[in-house]
Amino acid sequence: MNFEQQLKLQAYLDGELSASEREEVRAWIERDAEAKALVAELTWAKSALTANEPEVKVPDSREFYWSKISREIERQERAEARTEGAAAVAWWRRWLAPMGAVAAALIVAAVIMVSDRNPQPVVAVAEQGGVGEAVSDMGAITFEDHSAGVTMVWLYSDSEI
Amino acid sequence: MSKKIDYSTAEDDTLVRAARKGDMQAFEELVARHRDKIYARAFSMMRNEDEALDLSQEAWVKAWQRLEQFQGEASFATWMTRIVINLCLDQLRKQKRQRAESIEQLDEETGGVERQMPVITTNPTEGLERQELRKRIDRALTQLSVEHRTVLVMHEFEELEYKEIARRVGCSIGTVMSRLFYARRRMAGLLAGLKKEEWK
Repeated sequence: MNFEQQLKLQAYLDGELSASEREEVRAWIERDAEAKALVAELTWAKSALTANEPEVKVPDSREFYWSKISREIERQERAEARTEGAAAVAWWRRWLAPMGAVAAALIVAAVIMVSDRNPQPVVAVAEQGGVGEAVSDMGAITFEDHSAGVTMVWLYSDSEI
Repeated sequence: MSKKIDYSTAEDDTLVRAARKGDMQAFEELVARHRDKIYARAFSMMRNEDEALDLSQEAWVKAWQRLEQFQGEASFATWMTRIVINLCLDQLRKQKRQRAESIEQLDEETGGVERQMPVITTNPTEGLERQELRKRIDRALTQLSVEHRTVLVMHEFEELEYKEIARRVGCSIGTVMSRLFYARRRMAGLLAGLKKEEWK
């Protein structure tokens, strides 16, 4: 009997064959004494084990056995909490600097855009030096002719008088 | 308002639901109920008391962390034994990487010895007291190679199919079949009290 046939007999014993293969092997076992003997040996070896798993018990008391488990659970949960905290800090460290830089750039850009749309008088005065002074040196004389319905206004500067 | 649980009489499912909500007392009750079985499975695979203790306790810690994954398709005890078996397999893989395979182990892996063993026609376990038989099985398991014992334990004690064993161990179905065959033949020889020199 070759090894493949021996394994087929074992598969028969373990219920790992298809229905047709099972029938085929059953017929073979009936007519072959060698196959029958091997199946018998494998069968008692299997059943002896299945029904008689060695009985071993935890050598520690219930409390002592549990104490190691509970300590380990608590230790791992603390470690996990620390890891989560550290991960959050690392996340902030990683993103805070780039986010800050982007925010600063946006603020500068916004200031520039607002400035372009609404030129400040101060800027105008600075660029057109002397205008502010001229306005403060000016005066006006008004003449009204009610009969003619005319009003005339003269503008002058102090330097002209 | 939630109902108060009587931990000692509650069903496993009730305790699992409570443990999922963070009830450590419920989990402790589950540990107390199944700790021998989980330890026994670890011991069957590792054959070392200290390793079996460590791995069984590690399995309980993992179970606490993964309680959400327990769907109730199998019993809680079955789910737990799967966890401890996986941990044992990881540990055995680590040990295998660390140790150099001896020539004898390689011979066992290929079945060089078991293939020459005569078929044992008389069942040597018949008439034995159960305690005596268990002792013999225990001794015989120690004498198997790690590879053979692992497959044997997963098939005979855990009742896993070839395909499932292959998936968990990370080998082909053919390898599982041959390892199981050699393991059974070796067990038969050991239980019959045959010495290696008698096999040839």
